[in-house]
Amino acid sequence: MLFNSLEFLLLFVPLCVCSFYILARFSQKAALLNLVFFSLVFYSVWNPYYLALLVSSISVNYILGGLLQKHQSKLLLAFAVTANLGSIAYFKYLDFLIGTSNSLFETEWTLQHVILPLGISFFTFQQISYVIECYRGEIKDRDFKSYALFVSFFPQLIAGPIVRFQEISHQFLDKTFGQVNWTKILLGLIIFSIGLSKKVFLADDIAAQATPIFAKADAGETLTFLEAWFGSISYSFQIYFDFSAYSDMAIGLGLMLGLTLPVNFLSPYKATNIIDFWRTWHITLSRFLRDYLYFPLGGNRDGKFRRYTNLMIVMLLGGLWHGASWNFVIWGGIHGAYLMINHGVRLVSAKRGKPFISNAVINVALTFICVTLAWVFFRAETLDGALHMAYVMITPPDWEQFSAKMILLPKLAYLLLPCAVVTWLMPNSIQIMEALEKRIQQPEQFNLKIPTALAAFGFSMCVYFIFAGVYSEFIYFQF
Amino acid sequence: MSKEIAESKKNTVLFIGIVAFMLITLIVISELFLRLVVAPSDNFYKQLNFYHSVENVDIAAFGDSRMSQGFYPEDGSRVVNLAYASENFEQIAQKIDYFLQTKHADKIILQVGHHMFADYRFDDDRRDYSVFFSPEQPWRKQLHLQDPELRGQLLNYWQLFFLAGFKIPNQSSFSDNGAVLLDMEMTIPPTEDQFYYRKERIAEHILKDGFESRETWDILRKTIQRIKAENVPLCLVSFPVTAFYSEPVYELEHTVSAFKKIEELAAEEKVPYLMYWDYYEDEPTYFRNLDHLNKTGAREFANDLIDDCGF
Repeated sequence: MLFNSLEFLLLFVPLCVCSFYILARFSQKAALLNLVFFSLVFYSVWNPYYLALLVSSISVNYILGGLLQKHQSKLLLAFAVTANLGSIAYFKYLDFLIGTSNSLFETEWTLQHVILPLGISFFTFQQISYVIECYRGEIKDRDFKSYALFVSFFPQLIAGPIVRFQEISHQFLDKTFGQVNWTKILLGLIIFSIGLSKKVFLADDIAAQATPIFAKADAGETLTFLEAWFGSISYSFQIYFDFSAYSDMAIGLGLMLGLTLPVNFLSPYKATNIIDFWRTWHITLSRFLRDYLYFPLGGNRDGKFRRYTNLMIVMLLGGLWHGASWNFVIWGGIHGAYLMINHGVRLVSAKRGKPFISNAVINVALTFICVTLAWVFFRAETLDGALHMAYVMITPPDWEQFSAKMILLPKLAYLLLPCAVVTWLMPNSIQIMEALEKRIQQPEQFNLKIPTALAAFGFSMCVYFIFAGVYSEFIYFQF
Repeated sequence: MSKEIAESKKNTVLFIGIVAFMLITLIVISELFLRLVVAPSDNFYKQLNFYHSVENVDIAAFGDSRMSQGFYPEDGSRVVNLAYASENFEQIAQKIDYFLQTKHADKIILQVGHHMFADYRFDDDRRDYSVFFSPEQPWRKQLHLQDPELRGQLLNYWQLFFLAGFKIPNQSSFSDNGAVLLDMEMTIPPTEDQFYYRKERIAEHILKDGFESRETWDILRKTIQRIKAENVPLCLVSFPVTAFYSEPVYELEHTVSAFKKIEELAAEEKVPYLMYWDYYEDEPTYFRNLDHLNKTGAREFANDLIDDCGF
């Protein structure tokens, strides 16, 4: 079930939220189990057969967590992590490995075409973090219902944010769990509406510009300089609005149920360098990779060489996490290189006592250009398509041809304008939420009727657009 | 209850109230818009009303857009064109079945072609013809919003409506005998756009492996048998296309075998099959685009086809 489907918006959410609060009046346990039930229904709508995989994965990891808490055995931890990674490896990377082996070593293994279970990368990572935290003795209260909800909680099950057990489990056990909190419900509705509007009005709209250009590149057709840049900038906006919309909707849904999920985006395209970009883009994944990969590898403790090597390993694996393709590995590698350069530049700047470029606008633009260039490898379906597009983007265009096409520039800029305005001139959803929260606390001074009405208007128009046939999947579902 | 909570509760109710009001209003307005503005200018609804108005005819023709736009019988004749764009065999078979239950044609012409076995013809969101073409006509009691194709195009219709000055423009005309006619002529030599269109068109009609075992073949065979069982003479036809379209398509392996299979089926069922693909090879002015006849071509071809079927 998709967040932007009518059955989800008009049936699933109202039913789930209402039944949750009704049951909570009688029993918190029943309300919690009700959420587990709805989450499993949510997952099974996609493919009921894989529900068994999710349930067994939850059960096995819960048992392993218990054993690790008791015995703190490294061997057992290695087994638990390997078992989780093994399941991702089988479902997500088997064909990639077979294909790579076939082309490198001329083996003739048959591709298995295993169907990728929805959200496996997300729920497996959450469970890896859980078993590690059990091993480290950081988890005190263990309870199967809470654990099952932590993994399967439908707002974050399929595309994150990647939540840690400790940041959500205490909310399940809190005595206020299930109590109607009108402030949170209102905030949830507004944030959810912002997310839905970003998806329907911005991400899906701009996707129509990006998709044909990448299709052309993948089909081996020649792109012009202008086309390549327009296509890749469009995709930069598409993926940002698509994924951050999903995160906003997840946070909004959580709030409607009185639960707070971690922030996943904080205006990443306003970042003035790549290091900041990674602090504001898919924050919960970066946090996971930092805590469970970068730090165990040694982080920045063993000198610059090890630090850069570790950074590169993390980014390559982070790239591979997104999908079973060399394009994702290259994308991760490019960001690894960017980060190394960025750290290097910082060191030199610190020695000089002043930055190379102090103008924030130029820094934001440069960062955005670098990120956009890297997205080409993330989006293109073939390596040849990505290489061609990237080559066209970095090669100075033939001036005659370029100037002949200059007439298109205002039209292209016009198409990108709404996304650019929202990206760079408006506050992000979290800033809006914080501002609203402050205003809610001062009802004498502020009236929330206008933001509420705007959000309701946006929500209604989105539902109408979806009803009229505008319907698409979220990009991060495939990961 | 603190003032903060009371305000939040009030605003939550306001949110839900606005959403409910807006959704109901949008649905009512959309239904009126589809019913009063869109449907009267929509070729499918014109065709639908025409179909239900027909009773006894000399010849009834069925098929997709190539037939719908390419078969323009003489005015006043008792020959009707009951084809509609993009129909698949399942829909055509259903339409013919309902036709034979309640109406009468002395002869039937049925369009066939490889493209009618392409994957996109079997999309889920297709019109259920039992709703539209059955003698009971349940569609008359339903909302127009329930028509998946009208609903799926709703935003485009709104856009058209506002851009065209509060009306839905229609480039084609609907003839008295059911043909959808377009006056435009294909540009010769083909423009860059036409090359692009050809590529897209060929790609969407490429038959996938295993097309021979599609249930559609059975449906086609059963439809032929159904018509024969009513003792109505039948003629199968593949419509003329331009050489600009046919040349690359002839190169495709599955296309050739699809035509062979149609020929074999016609021979087994002992019905004439007329393959007209290259019929107007030297007459580009008869086409509105690479694979559809225009008004002039459609009139010319209708006369030839009726003669050649030899009913």
